Amino acid sequence: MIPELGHFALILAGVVALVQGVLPMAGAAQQRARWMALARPASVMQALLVLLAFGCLAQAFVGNDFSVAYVAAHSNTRLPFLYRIAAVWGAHEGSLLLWVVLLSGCGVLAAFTSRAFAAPFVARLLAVLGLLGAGFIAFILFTSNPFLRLDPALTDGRDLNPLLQDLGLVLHPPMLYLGYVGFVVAFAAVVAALLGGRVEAHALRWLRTWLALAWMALTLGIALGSWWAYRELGWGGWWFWDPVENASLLPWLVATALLHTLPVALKRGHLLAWTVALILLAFALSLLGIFLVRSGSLASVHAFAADPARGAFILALLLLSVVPALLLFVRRLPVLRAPSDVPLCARTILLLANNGLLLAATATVLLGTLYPLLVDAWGLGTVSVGAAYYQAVFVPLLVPLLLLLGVGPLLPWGERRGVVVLRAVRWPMAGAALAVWGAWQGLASLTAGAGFGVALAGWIVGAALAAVRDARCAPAVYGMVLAHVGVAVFTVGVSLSTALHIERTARLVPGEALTLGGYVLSFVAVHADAGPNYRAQRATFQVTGDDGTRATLFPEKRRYAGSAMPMTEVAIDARWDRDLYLALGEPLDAGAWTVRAYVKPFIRWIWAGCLLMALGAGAALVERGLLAVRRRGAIPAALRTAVTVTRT
Amino acid sequence: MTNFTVLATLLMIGTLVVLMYPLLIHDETRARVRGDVSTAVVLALLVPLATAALYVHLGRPDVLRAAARPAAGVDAVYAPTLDASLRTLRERLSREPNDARGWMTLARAEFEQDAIDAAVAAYARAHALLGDEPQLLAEYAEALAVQHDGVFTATANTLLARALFLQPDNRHALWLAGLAAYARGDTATAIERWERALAAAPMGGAEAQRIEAALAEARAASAVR
Repeated sequence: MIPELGHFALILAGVVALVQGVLPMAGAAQQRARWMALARPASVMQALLVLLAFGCLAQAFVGNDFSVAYVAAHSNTRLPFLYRIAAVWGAHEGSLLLWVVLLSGCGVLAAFTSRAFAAPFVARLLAVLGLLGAGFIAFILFTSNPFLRLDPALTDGRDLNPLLQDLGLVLHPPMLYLGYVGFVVAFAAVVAALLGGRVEAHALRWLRTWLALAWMALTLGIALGSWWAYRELGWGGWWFWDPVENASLLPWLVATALLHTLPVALKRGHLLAWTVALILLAFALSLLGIFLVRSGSLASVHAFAADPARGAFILALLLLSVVPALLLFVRRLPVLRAPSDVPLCARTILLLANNGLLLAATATVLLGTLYPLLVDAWGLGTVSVGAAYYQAVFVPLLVPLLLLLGVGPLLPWGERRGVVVLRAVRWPMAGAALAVWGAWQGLASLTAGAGFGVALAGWIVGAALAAVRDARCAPAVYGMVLAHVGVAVFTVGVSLSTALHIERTARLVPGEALTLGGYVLSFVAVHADAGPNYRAQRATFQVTGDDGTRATLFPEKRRYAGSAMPMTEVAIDARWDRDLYLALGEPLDAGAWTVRAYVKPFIRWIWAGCLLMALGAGAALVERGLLAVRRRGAIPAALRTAVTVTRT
Repeated sequence: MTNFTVLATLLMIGTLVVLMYPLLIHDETRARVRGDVSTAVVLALLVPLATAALYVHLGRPDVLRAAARPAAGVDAVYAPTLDASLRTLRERLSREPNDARGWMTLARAEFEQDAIDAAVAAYARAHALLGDEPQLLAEYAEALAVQHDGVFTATANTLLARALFLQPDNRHALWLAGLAAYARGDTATAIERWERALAAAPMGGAEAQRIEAALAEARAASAVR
């Protein structure tokens, strides 16, 4: 009965979402207060119903209800409890349900943090969210329904894809989706503002909070995905330029650009139209990502759905939401024009350069992702775009971006003389010199590439520290500084782990040893082992190192029930400045095994950097975040009725 | 009324109350706007109608009724489960032991159920009856390899060689022959077999992905050596 109740709740939620989308929108157009007032309760009801449906599906997984086809396909009685929960969003249908849960949840949050705004704006905002929610629920019900039943039921199910039985999977999709959903809310707010014919300053401030939240979640989501790939795919890579990874990187790049233009729009009144365009773009790219993953047009570890109907549905949803929004944007352009009496300052110009570079980077990734698909679709053969393309095209765009990052924060707002730039660079220069000197002293070997990466990192940190000094404890600066230091840490991680990593593949029998960059890995033994739903060959390695490392590692080769391909479970000896990464390859004759070992210097810094960036966004959120918006008094009365943004 | 009907009705009533409240009672702006009775009536009709129509179209009320029986009767409700149909098949094969296709079906089912020894036995019967059929040979070899914890025995290798002799583009056999070669440390042969398997596999499918992943690993390994 429970799956049917979930199905019923989801259908009802779709109907409520449609009501939420239509009546408040019409009410705002016709000034009907009762219809507009419907938006808030409807969004709460929609969220509760979707949550109920999600709970019912989770219960079907926990209770092993194999009369539900989705459960039978992705879980079995031996699957551990935690993965049974994660399996709810472990495949296409359920992950879309998770998306709708987060979307409606954010809708409720939007409904209750927007109390200070005029009723028509709130009605339109929630109506746009309602329409999108209805579209996604229809998508689930008609093309990807997780509540379809098997009659007769199975006594046991198949298995969750072994690659996905990992803590990374439990956390990665919810974080990533939270990011996407944040952009959906921003899109809804912008469309609501454009429909009303005005973009008010306090709405922009509210948007900044949302975007910081979304950006934080997306950053964490992407980092978690990378961390998962590193541990679970067994190749020691942390980014594969897989089209689906790119699909999450695209909105991230645009959102990063946005986080930098919003303050300009707020403080200076410039770039308002540009900011609005970026929000539309971030939303469109989020939906494009879903289209790429869900349509089956991509071959990748993530592409579980190969159904043309799904692709067509998402594409229709994308066009139906983005095209009208773009038309509306073009019609409202005159309203968004900047006040002509405020000239651009040096900092604004640098932020524009930052945006230009970030968008150019977005374009290169978009091209590299879509071009092979289009060539394939038009029957012009197959093109493979790999890491080489991105290294040649994407990375060179990042270098000037990182250089800008060391100057921008040091320029005072409103300063128009170019000479301030020259004065500002002394701090980042000192930082770069210090960093290179430190790396030279501390590292055994240093290549030109690694040295350059470290110098860039020092450049950024120097500027960040100087910005703290200049700010004299203005709290808004700390979030930015934290995020920028995160970029520096990330840069160190990428350049040192790429330039200085060592790897070796060897054929070993127990008793033999492998030496790798000052470490000796002794192969002690292999013995059979079994987990709840797999059998394993578990190897034991003793590790000793010149640097005093003493560790025992247990890499495994696992065979999960119902999966023919053996899985590699790597063993990692992690330290702040290096990972020792050991993967058991294939069994050979005479008890020998292939063994792959890597030393990856500073690889943890990549994810630590992402974490710092996310914390930076979080710090900005706490400081001026949700609480500040809710207080009505916090917004000057004059601004509430402002027709366009003016200087604040 | 079943529990489901009661709960679904309650859910519907709750939803309607929440939707009616702003339309009829609560006046957010305190502007004394009159309640919107006509909209409330339309919603009270349309929302249940649309939901019920969609549920009848998409839902499975019949499975619901079956599931509402006592838990002890679950097996009876979902009568021919996979186990039960396997039992029937085994009984039929004991009566008609020369049904080669039946043995093949049984072997596949046992393999899927992870009953490897039974699968190998069934493949052996099917092989004895059908002779050298490429797909059968490949699956038989796979079952043998799984039985030996992933090690391709001499028998398994012979079966694969035979399968590929008879049908050089058999994807399943190519995939397994690649695995066997890779396990021997013969990366070059593994890559060659998998490339042929990839050429024969449908573009972009799960199978092609699996082969591509294996190829990537093998190429990386051969580059290192």
